[in-house]
Amino acid sequence: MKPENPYAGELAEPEGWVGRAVERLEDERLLTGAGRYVDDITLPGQLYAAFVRSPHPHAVFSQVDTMAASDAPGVHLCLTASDFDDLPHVKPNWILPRSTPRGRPILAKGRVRYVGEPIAVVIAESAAAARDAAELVEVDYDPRPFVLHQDEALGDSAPRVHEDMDNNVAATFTPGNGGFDEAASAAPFRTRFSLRNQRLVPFSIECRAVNADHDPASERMTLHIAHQLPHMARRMVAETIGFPENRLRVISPDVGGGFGPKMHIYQEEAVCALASMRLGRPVKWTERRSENVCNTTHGRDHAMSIDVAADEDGTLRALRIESRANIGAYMSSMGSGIPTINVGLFVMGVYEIPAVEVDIKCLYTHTPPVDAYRGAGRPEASYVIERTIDRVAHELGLDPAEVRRRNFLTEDQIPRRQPTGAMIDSGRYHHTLDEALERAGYERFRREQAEARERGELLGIGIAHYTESCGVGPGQVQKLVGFDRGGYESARVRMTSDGRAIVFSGSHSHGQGHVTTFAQIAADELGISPDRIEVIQGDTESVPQGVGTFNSRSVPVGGSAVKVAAGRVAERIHKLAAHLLQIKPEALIREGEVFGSDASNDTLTFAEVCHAAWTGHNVPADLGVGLEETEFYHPTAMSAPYGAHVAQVRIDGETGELELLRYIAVDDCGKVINPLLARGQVHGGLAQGIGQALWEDGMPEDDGSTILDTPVPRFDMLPRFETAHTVTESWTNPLGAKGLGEAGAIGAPPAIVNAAIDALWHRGVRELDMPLTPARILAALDAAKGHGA
Amino acid sequence: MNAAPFSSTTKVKLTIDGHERSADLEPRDLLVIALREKYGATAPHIGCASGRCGACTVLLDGEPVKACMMLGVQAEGRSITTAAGLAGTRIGAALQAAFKACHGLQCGYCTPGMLAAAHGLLERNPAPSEDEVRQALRGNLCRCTGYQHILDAVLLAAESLREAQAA
Repeated sequence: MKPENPYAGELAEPEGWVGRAVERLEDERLLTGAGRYVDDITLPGQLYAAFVRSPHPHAVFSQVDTMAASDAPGVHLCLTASDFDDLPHVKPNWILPRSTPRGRPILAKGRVRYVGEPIAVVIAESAAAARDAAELVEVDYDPRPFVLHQDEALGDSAPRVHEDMDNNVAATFTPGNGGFDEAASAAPFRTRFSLRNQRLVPFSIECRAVNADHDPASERMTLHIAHQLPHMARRMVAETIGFPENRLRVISPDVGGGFGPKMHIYQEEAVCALASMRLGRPVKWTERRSENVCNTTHGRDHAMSIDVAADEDGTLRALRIESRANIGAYMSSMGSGIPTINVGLFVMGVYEIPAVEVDIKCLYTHTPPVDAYRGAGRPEASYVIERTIDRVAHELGLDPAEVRRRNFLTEDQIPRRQPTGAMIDSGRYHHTLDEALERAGYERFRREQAEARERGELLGIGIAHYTESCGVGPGQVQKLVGFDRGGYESARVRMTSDGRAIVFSGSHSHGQGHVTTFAQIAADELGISPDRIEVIQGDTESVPQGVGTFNSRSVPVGGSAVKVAAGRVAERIHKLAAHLLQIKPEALIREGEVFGSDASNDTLTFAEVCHAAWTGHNVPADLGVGLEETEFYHPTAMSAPYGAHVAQVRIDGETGELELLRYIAVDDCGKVINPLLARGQVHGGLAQGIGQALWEDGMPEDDGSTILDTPVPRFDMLPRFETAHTVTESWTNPLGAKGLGEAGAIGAPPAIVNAAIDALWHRGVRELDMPLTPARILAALDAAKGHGA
Repeated sequence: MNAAPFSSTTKVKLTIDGHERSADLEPRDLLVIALREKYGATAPHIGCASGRCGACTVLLDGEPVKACMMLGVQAEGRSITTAAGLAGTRIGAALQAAFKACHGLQCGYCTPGMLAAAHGLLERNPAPSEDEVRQALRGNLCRCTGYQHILDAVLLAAESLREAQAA
């Protein structure tokens, strides 16, 4: 069967390449097993690294004995912290003002603070030899008391994660406009509840990998890294190990999924680079899954308390949210910004709330560091406000859809800066919600639900009307919040003499399909087809300085850079063609590949103009030789994509099993570049969001060890998704795009949990925490016995 | 440094994507490690090395197997088809075309295994239902697509193969 119409929703038939469901240009090699991921690259003289890791969440040690390992067959080098006079640390690059950053030492010195923390490395002739030898390293651990949960980390008697700190508080953040107590006491309705946004293991199918190749003769180093931000990786490695950045090259080839964790630098990249410098040979490390679940960053992990006041009709009057965020044992690169800025600014969602107070504390614990994971803070924000809306609606006996409508920001209030600081650039919330409810058959489902209840069956419907924020910069704002990273993106567009083009982009695809979407964007500007455009990413020596792919910024920022640069090239082509034909630019007519004019029969082909530009034989001085333009596109504001998601569930009251009957997602990401690829992004996000709602939990075991088998959704666990778009273009960038990569992961958890609570409210269930396992649902039903409405 | 070799090795002959190959394998080498590191066949990927993710799935004498769940030495004399050789089969070519048409892949890391597993399904069952596709591929994890476009692709490939057969 054919895929459903990708233009479902209100996508207009496109005029150019942008908006068309073009098949991906990068698929061929990936489908024939010819993808080139970091582990596929083996260099002459290749050596391999294996790390010795802590089995304890907290222990001190005085000796790391590497003698036996050093003597093992094939071993070239063992390193521990004591091999470094000035032990490098991996520093965060988003440091919230007034926070207390503690970066990861590249190898633990005297103390380990989470299970999986690397202590030593063995470099050997083969990966197997390195692992064999790593088994021989002896460490005299002395286990110490540890703390895993943020609420336990708060108390005075809690074991301290960093002994030089007075407590475990890494950062605090308190946005809002105040006035909660006054507004709440004046309101007729008030309720309090708490919820958890559990820890998740991101679990890209390709684990992390690095191959560090230092050339002693040139004193240059090439790092192949599976990474989302090659230029940032170059800077971060250079900063960490003190290597001149201009002699460091990062190549990120095909990357097997990112989802956030592949935008940081960890201990292993630094250690492999330093080992390669000592040995003069390339050193490769490919993370094993058992390492990935404990040393690569986790996501989410907030414990939240909500206090909300409203009128009897559900109009919100005041909101207070307290959150304790578990950021793990060290501050990861964005570890203080994600749980604060990315949560606190967005907890008001798409609603008008007169008085808002937010208090977020970030806490160190003896767990793996927590950082960005698909959505990165906005899922937590959407989850808390969307759960709150439903809570208010149910307690007041109102329809959750209607309560949303009563509180929506209206079109005449937008653009708007919310009291928490969130910038809302565009929104037609009534329109999008109506579209989603229509598709979901909301009224009909409510009738079926009532009938089902008569029979003792439990049906529920849940809505999430999220908003988020995509396309970080601008840089000035990043500076205010301590985010030491660029807010621009680069694009260089170069014509070749045969009338083809190369687009160099500082973004980097790890599955999103930039090779296709960026070619579509450039194609419309240049007037050639996308298959004549080559998109190059992921090599710091060919691509102009860039920032990279995260925060759904590739299209709104990276794509805008491509559009601007390609537009300038097109202008120069036009001027040069006119010059070569000796006519005024206004008189130039282009028909397909041919330039001409009404004034004469002289014509030139598109390729001839490109050829002439690069010979430079007859190019006027003011046009200059060649056809190449570079744009560092710097947005003036971020955009606020949004969407209305609806989940329908059936719960078996005997077994506690939840069946996801339907999932309807209507997203508004502004201009859609490629509907087929956009839908793929929504689907992938939904799978991760549904995984969080129903199955996944990355919280370590009670002994601090990491869960090895986090239940990532499998093929038979997900329904067919029903997706569509409303299109409200953003004014924040020339494409009118807003970003879509994280939408599904943001909308799905609240939609599904709201549906589950909707199914069980009349049985007295008021709260349910993710993941909604049968055991949890049964326990909630048990606890609620006798409390039914 | 001690450059002594590792444990004893055995010469193992395989046919990989139609080419006869031989390499010296350690007894402990998983088939996927052997394929990638000893025979240079990097189409099958490693996502877990414990049978969980299916990224290493290849066809062993036409049957899909997870190449991390057997030893290289166990494959002596047998024929292995990876994603690099799938274009040579009728079903493989149809699957590859359908994955492209339906956007059945994003990062591409799980794709070689997904194709091999789907190949096994269509070999056994030329007209699978949606549910049969989901069941047959449940051993292959994908974290990018949410599976729906892969489902579309496998159903489209099955349909195009049936049409070609009927013509």
